[in-house]
Amino acid sequence: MTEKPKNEFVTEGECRDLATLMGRKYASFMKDRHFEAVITKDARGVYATVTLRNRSGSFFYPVEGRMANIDHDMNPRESGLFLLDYIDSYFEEYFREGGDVYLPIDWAHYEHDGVPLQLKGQILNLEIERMADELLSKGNSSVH
Amino acid sequence: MASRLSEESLKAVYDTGHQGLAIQSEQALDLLSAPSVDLDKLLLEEDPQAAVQAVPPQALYQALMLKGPEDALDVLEHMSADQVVRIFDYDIWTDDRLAPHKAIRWLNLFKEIGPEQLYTRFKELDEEYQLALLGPEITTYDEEEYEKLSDAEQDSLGRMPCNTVFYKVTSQDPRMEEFISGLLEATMGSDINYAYALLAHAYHLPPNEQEEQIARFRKARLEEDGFVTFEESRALFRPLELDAMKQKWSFLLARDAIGLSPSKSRTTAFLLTALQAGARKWTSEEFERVSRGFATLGNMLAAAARVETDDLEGLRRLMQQAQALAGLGLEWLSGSDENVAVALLEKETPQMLFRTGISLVSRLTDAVTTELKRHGVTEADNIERNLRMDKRGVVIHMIETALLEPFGFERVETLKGLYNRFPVLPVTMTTDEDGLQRMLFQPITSLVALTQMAATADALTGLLHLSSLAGGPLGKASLDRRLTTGLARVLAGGGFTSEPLSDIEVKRLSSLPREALQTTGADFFAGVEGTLREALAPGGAGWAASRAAKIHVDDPVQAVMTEFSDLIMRLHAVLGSTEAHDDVALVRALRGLADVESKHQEAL
Repeated sequence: MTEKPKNEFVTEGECRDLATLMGRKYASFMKDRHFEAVITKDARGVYATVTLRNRSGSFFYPVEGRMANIDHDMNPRESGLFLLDYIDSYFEEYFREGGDVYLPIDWAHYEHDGVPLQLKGQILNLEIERMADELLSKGNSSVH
Repeated sequence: MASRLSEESLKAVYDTGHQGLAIQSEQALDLLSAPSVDLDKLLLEEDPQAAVQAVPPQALYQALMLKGPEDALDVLEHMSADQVVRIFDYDIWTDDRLAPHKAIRWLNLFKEIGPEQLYTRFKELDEEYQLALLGPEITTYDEEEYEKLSDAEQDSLGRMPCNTVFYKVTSQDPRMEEFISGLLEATMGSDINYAYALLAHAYHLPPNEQEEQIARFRKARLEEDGFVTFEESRALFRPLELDAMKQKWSFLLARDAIGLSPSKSRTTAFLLTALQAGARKWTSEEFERVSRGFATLGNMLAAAARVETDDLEGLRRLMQQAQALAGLGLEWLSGSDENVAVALLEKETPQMLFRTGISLVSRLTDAVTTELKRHGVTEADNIERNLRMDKRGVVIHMIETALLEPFGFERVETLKGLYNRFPVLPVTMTTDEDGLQRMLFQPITSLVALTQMAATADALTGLLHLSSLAGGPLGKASLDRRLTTGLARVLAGGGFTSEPLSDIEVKRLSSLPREALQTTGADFFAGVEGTLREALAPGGAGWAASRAAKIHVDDPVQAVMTEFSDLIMRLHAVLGSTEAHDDVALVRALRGLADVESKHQEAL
């Protein structure tokens, strides 16, 4: 992985590398799925999303984490990687328990190494949702 | 804090040998891996308590976890004190530290059965378990200390019936607070003296000391199940002297093989066949003994593979690998004879069978490593050094990073499977529409599978041999490009060398009639085959890893020629295209397969 100065934020390339690394770590559980990772920041804090998904979207599991800047003394880059680390530990548990460890669908408080953070996640089936949307839009057009 | 998403963490995962590769579960190996206890059936026995208590603790634990302990209260009720302690040993520890919230889960289930069950079960635990669980979470006060507290603080304390001893649950976890209050309540209702003693000891004894003490007891008990130390676990992967092992059991082969026809080659797990044959002959106790031996082997592998005692899925994967490699060892030792195999299962330990299987694959791994070194493949020395130190994670990571360029994805995955702590055979490669490639592996369960692995290894070492004929050491160069460059030069009328194709050679390739290219290609193909066969003849340079590993592959040349003909076909496809007569277009197309002099690259 490319070395980055510590005060620079996490790049897209790094996120891709980290997602690939997670895919390798959990290769025996991946089936036809892969990881995608995104880290962003704003004035209030840092946000990380790691999505475990297959290509069609019939399995789509975004795990989102966020940390407020005021709660710790890490810089945004460190915060982003810290969140990713925690999300990785969640996925380890998730795979180990055969996918039976779920997160709340709304933000819930957690603590990792004394640092407060929030996490949420929900398994979706984007294919079904797309089909439902199409069905609804057809229904609407027939009404008009 | 070390990142979980570092290259080091990836190496640690690879080192376990069961998580970093996509290994297909082998149904045939579920015979001994799946929990065999039917909890509902136990409850229907005449004496359900005796039936439950007769089940070995680990098998009972696995069955309970499969069903969900919350749905098995009527089984929990019948468990013996020893079974409860053993289940605590398996389940309430994380990274060798006591995890009180996991203990609460079980104890709350006993509370659900009845308060007296909670009291009894807790009291039956080792004293050190009791104190290690309660000690860090409770503070007691005598009258004098109580008087010094503010009214609010006094109100927050619990009190014993004598009104001279007070206690406070210090845990911030509301589940723990609720549990301790419930426990003390149940205890006071059943045995007041015990309640006082518990409070006094929990407060006054150093909690860490109790945890250390119970950790030692737990370790000793787990060893009875085969959960050995990391070093002992690693020892199972040390190759043994195969000839001596064969010699040890040769009398069995000679005696029992009389009148028996050796088994035909098989693709299913040999162990399964042998166990089925054994089941026809053994009593259920004998079958149980063999089965327990394999369970112990699976547990023994846990430390090396970093699988915790409560990771049932992880243990199941280890059990499958244990059976696969022990089955391979069994098939080799028995000469593929089921009857001999049955006799061996009665007399030899699964650990030795496993090590025999590991040793068979090790010979192939060593042979491939020697060839990688001989042909100057990048990092070959480091791979050998780390392999010798059993740093499998480092080796796999090195193969993945350093050998991708020279060998390409498929061969790299094959090597990862071969060098894996639990060697596995690549079976299916897929590429999705985004270009993401995946390799699926399966355990090496038979000599046929080992032979397939050896033939795949031969294809690589054979191509390396050809590559060395085209020039010096391979280093970081691409094996396919080097061979295709040499091949293109031969078609252009030159020798089989790997320097980039010159301007004149490209022009010649574009001007030669296709038929001439086909003929030259066919002649060269035959020549290459002859060269490979010659090198395998007595006194030849040798290149087949299977030969060095003493694994019988019918024709090692065949696998090499299959790969070589792929290279020829891809080159012919480029040369035969309609644009091949245009030098610039040809260079553009050739560049994807072979090395062309840099002035052509610049022109493009």
